[in-house]
Amino acid sequence: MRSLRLRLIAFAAIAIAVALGAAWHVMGGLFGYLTEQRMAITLIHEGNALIAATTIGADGRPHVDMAGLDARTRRRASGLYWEMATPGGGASSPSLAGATLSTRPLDKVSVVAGWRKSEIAGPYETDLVLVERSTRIGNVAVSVRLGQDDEPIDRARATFGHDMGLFLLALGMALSLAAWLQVELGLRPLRRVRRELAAMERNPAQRLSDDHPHEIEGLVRAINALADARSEDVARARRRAADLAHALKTPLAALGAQSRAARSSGARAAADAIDDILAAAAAALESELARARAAASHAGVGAGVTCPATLIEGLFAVLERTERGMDLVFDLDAPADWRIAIDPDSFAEILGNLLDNAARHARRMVRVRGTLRDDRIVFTVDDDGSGIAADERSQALRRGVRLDESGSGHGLGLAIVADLVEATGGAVTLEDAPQRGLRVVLGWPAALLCPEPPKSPVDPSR
Amino acid sequence: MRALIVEDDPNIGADVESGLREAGFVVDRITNGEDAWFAGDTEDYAIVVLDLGLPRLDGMTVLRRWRAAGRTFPILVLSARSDWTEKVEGIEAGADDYLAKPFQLGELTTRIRALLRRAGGHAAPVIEIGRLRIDTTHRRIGVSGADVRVSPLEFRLVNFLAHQSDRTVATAAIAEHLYGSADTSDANAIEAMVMRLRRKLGTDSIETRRGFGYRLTGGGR
Repeated sequence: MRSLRLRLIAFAAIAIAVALGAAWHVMGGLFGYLTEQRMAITLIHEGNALIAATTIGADGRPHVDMAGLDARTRRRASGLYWEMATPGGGASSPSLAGATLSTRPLDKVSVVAGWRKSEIAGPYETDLVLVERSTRIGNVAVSVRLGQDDEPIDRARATFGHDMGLFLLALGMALSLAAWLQVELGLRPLRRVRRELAAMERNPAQRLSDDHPHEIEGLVRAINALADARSEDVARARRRAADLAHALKTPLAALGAQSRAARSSGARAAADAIDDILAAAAAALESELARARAAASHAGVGAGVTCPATLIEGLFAVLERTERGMDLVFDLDAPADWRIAIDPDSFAEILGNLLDNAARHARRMVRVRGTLRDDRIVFTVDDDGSGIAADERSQALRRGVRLDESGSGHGLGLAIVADLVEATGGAVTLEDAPQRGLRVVLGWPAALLCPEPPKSPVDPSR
Repeated sequence: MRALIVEDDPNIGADVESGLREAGFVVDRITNGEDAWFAGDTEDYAIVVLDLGLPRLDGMTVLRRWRAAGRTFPILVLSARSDWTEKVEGIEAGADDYLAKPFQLGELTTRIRALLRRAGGHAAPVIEIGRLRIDTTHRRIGVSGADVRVSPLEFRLVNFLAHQSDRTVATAAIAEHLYGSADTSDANAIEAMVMRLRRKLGTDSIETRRGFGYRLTGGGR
């Protein structure tokens, strides 16, 4: 059984059942014992009355005045019997009708108020509770024995057992319910941790909250510390990869300068070869950087909050200064107060590369729209260029495929953008723009929309 | 024309220098941030090519200090950092263009020429219409005394309307001026641009005469 809840509930139910079963058994026994004692005491009273009503005749035989005795002793086989014996002879109750009381006790003999109490087989197929003692009446030694049918005890014990059983069953159910409630309440903090962990999986920058019960505080702290350490590791690796890539770019640029020097001194073939190698190395470097960025986004490194409107206007400002972007209208329609839980650097790379692509293909205008649609944050990037044919679109999103080799943009291709979008928990599709050209549709879960302004939104005007 | 190259790598520096000399510039080359800051503060350059990773004082600080001191020469940033976030940061700090390393010398000179074209060079008056102050020399627009960031294309539209002496200009004429040709789909682009300009300059700065075109009013003072 792998469910902690089922384990706890099953254990509680078994423990309750065993405890209540034992209680039923012990209380039934106790009830039987007390009823028997009570019967013995009644018999002893009757015995004392019998002794008081007895006189010893001149013949040495006992004579009993029946008037003060229990009426049952006069009825045949009534269930209440007595016997008396003296050296001179004996007497017995009319209820015995000539039968005798057995002298073989069926169980242990105990002593109650000076009387020996035991159980014997009765004369009429029922067992009897028997009390007996020896005493003297006058100077004559007398043995007195009284027995009573134990059937009322059995009946009372059965009734008690039944009623007690019902009560304990109800009690058991109430206790089980309480145990279930306790388990549910007890496990609630763990369920909350599970929910928070699921949220953490979606947004790796998130951490477990710090108001958990003491018993699991240590666990929560350990999980958060682990997540911090992992983010820090990935961030360090990303920084190292980025530093390495950037460190390589300056020597590559210097190599480009050497190639031009070679060209001007007549070594054109060598310069061409160096240029080819340089272009390949630069492309590989950009692609690896983008890939490292996507991996880091997936791990939630540096995740923060993006203000898309401010960021996109900043990107427009960059593109409006490029040769191609200079003649284009860049238009944005998105709520200015939106804050989205996506790493600003990743968001800048996604929109930057898409806008750069759009600017290279647009004729007059690049348009970005941000809307909420069916529980998704949707950004569309439209250009009014020639678009991509429907059958080539899936190709365009595949890694390593670039439909258009022309242009001098820094665009890394839609495939890498798609990787980054996916790494930030979104999805990208290509459509026809309403008038003409390509529409890139980016969608993220609306849950990433922050309800309140963040502490430090990314503001490119810093 | 004088150009300043700030680049600490001797190979790249020499390469850019020879490229600009071939293009007809008189070139100063500096290899650290502190000297560059001083030179830019005291000399007049037609264009500055600025590396960001510099010894003694980083390029971004040099750029911010120049702009804070009111230096307006066009600056092209040359950097190994090609992240969009850093490009945005560079432009916001006052750069006019951003080129990532490694680069082609041809692309660098093309961009420098584009920057110089945008910077104009010939003296032109400052036009004031309503709240607007249009500085055609530095291609800047001020609204009630505060500079507003507009794209080069937006500036061209405002400048064109400003030169039409309060006339309403047809969309086709605007398209003809901006793009050199007129096309029905240009109207959408121009309308979107006017909407953006109204957001930046004030809703009453440009008036639409439905069926006729647009008129620059500059809004009330």
